[in-house]
Amino acid sequence: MKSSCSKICALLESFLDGDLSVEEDASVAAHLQTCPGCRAEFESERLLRNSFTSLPELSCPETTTRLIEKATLSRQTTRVPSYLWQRGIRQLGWRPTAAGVAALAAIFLLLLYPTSHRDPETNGPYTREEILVARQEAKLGLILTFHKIGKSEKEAIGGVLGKRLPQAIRGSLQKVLERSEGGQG
Amino acid sequence: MKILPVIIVLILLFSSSDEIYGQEVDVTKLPGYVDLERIEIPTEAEDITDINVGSSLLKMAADSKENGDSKLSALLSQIYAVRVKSFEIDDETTATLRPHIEQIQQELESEKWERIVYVKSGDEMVTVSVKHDNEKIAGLMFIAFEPGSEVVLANIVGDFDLAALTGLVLGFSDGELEEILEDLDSD
Repeated sequence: MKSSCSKICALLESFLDGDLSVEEDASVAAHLQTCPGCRAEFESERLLRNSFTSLPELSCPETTTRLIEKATLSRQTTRVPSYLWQRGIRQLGWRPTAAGVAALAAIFLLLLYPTSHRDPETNGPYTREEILVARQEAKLGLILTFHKIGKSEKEAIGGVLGKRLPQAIRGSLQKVLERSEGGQG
Repeated sequence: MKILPVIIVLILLFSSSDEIYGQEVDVTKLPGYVDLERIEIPTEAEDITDINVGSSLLKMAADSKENGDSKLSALLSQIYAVRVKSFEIDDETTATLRPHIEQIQQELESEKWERIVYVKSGDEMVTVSVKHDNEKIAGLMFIAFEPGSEVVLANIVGDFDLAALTGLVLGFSDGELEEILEDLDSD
């Protein structure tokens, strides 16, 4: 491969994206007219792109979405402080102006960051659908937990604590509260 | 000394950033947390229940005050994690498990958990312990150990009102809970 060909091949991706300057664009187009090897490379790249765009769109599973969101949010929470630590705080002792700018930038970022990820509909970082799904899962988790507790109580100690353990917990708690209220009074 | 106010502002900003971003809580560091990961569910065990509702899901579930069921929303915002491990045990597993159960009981005792329910019938045992943190409850630990039959370990971590929690769960019983439980039992 000629050195000019390797330079052109390096530009093919940008050429397809339309990111080249007018001069570079013209240069690549002219080269492709005269070089069969680069033209083949260009066609192959173009076909590959077309095959991607013709693929059906798939929705991301809920769990994966949450994992990505969780990882992204946790990175966002650490990005601002580490950025300021590297660029700002170390310079504070010697450069008050830079420190002031850094502080303003921090305030600006902190004000902008949460809002940029908020869903306007729910005023929170998640969409209404995500919240409803999470709520169902959490609710089911709680129900299953107490169902398991109640069932195991029934099976293990059948009848000793009555029908459902939460009632026993509540009874015990009420006694504790009565005792503490009595003690205070 | 102009630098001092700037540093103070930055410190305040950093110290409050967790709340601003709603960063995930590290439940393992909370007083109501009991490590149940030490309990390994045998692969051959039957009737396994393994529930792990983490803080990120609960935070998401509790988000927004406008999504109806404000009672549930308020409760979920007070719970950081729910962990349940339950499975059938044979005599061999019972022997392996017993030291772990005793260790958990000792830890609860040494960490000043209050045992509000204690039932012992032969070798069977059920305990419910709560960890107080000021006026709230920071954790609830349920243990049902029936040698040769089943073990249930449940840990709820949070900063919650136990009466509200039990009230809410009892509140499920009108219709919704019964329906879900019937579905579960029929599985």
